[in-house]
Amino acid sequence: MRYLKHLIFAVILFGTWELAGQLGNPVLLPPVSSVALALFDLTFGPLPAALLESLQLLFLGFSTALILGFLLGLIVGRYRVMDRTLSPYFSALYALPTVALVPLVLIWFGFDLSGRVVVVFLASFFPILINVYQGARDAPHDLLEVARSCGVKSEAGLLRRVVIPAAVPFILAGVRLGIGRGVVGMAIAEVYLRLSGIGTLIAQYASSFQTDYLIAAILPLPILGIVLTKILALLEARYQVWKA
Amino acid sequence: MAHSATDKDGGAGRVPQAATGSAAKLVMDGIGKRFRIKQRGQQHEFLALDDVNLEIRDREFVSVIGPSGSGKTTLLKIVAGLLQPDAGEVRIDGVRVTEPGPDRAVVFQTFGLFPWKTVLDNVSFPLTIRNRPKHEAQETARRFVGKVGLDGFEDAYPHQLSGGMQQRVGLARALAADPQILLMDEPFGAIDAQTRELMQEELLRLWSDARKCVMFVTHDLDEAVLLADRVVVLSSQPGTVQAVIDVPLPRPRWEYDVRSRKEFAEIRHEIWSMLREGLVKARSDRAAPAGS
Repeated sequence: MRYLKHLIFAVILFGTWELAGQLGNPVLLPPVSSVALALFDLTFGPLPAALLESLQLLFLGFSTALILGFLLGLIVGRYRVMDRTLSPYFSALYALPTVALVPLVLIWFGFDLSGRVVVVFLASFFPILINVYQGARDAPHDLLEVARSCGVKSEAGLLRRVVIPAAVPFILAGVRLGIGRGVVGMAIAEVYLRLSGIGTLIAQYASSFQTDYLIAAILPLPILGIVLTKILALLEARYQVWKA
Repeated sequence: MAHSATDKDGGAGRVPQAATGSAAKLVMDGIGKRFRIKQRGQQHEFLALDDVNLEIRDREFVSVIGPSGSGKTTLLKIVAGLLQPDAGEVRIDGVRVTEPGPDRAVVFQTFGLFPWKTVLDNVSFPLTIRNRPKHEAQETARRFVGKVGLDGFEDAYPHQLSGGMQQRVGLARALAADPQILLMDEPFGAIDAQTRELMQEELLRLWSDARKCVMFVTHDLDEAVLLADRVVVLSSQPGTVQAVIDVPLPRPRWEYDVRSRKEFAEIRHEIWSMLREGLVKARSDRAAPAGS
């Protein structure tokens, strides 16, 4: 019964789409059936290789953002001086859309892989940084005292025993946001910086007005976003059994 | 007044079990502590503790009572090594305290349990930090979880427990660390009244098994008298020792219904008149400058 309303909605949506496509101009809106056929065709054609290339880019950019965002977030969250000096800049950069930086990245890093990785990095980095920073800054004061009274002496010990475990919900939220934005950054980098991966497919079908193949090439992006976010939701559930 | 602040040697009314010589285990020597607070953009400084002198013997149970703002928690944290005094020093067996150490364990008012750790891992935490082998730490922790009556809850998380049960975990953690001095900061303050009475009794039982030197901070007058060999009354702003009062009630106190004894009421009354005096004075002190 839970899925019934989803089913009804999907039938109405795709039914209308199919009808509109059959009656209208297929270049403007191809019927859903031909999009499905195109997706089937792509799956056994250039899609796997393109997707793999895109995922490599996403992985490189995102993992760099994760490592640097995590380390910098901890440092800025734990040291008041850093906090006061740097946090306004972080907020400003967080609010800045990645697309606006693309021309600048192009000038600084060029068209090749490094430029594309930088775009994905910039997209993922700030949500991760901001969340880790908040988690580290709001580390529960009473638990820090407990740890010290139980014999934890070094800052590294306090980080490992209290600050990081207490910040896990923030960190995971940052990673989830970072991955979502990373997928967007990946698409931007591949379409606007230099054609590669799925971006190649998108640009190729767009310039030849094969709209059914164009839509089929775009579809993996939201699917990728959903799959990655789901994996993270599972991780969050796994590591937060202690949450009420 | 029969029992006064200068009566540091215990006096004639001391219970015999606790009499293990007069050598002080824990000495607070001229402790002073200032805090800086910012109010309406201005830096204010206020004196939380001023020249606090207090000695606690080994195996002695001392309650520290005082109105809020008397700095009793600050004093406990200085003894714990979590705060540094601005004047004076704390000594344990003659050695100056500068940081937390395995000779002391703290039971916190807000329980201070790690929400991401199970009961057993919370209790074994201080042992793990001090590099005991894992199985040994777990074994010790299991024993103390049992001692506080939480068998079967070893794998529960703190949020699954009631407040009383959470503080049992806090108590088990402090005892499992096997300290010489137990520092308790209003441990039952956040627990409902009935559970609190039960836990006071259990604390007395546990203490009679393993006689530690206990410094018990509370604002509950009955609790202070019920548990302690001596009650230290702190005055408010700045916190300083107003009086030290002996509690010559018989032990074990859960067997004699000490609350209903005449001496209990007398001691309670004596301390209350002192606290009252301090409170009234503090209020008029505060009222005077405000009125001018």
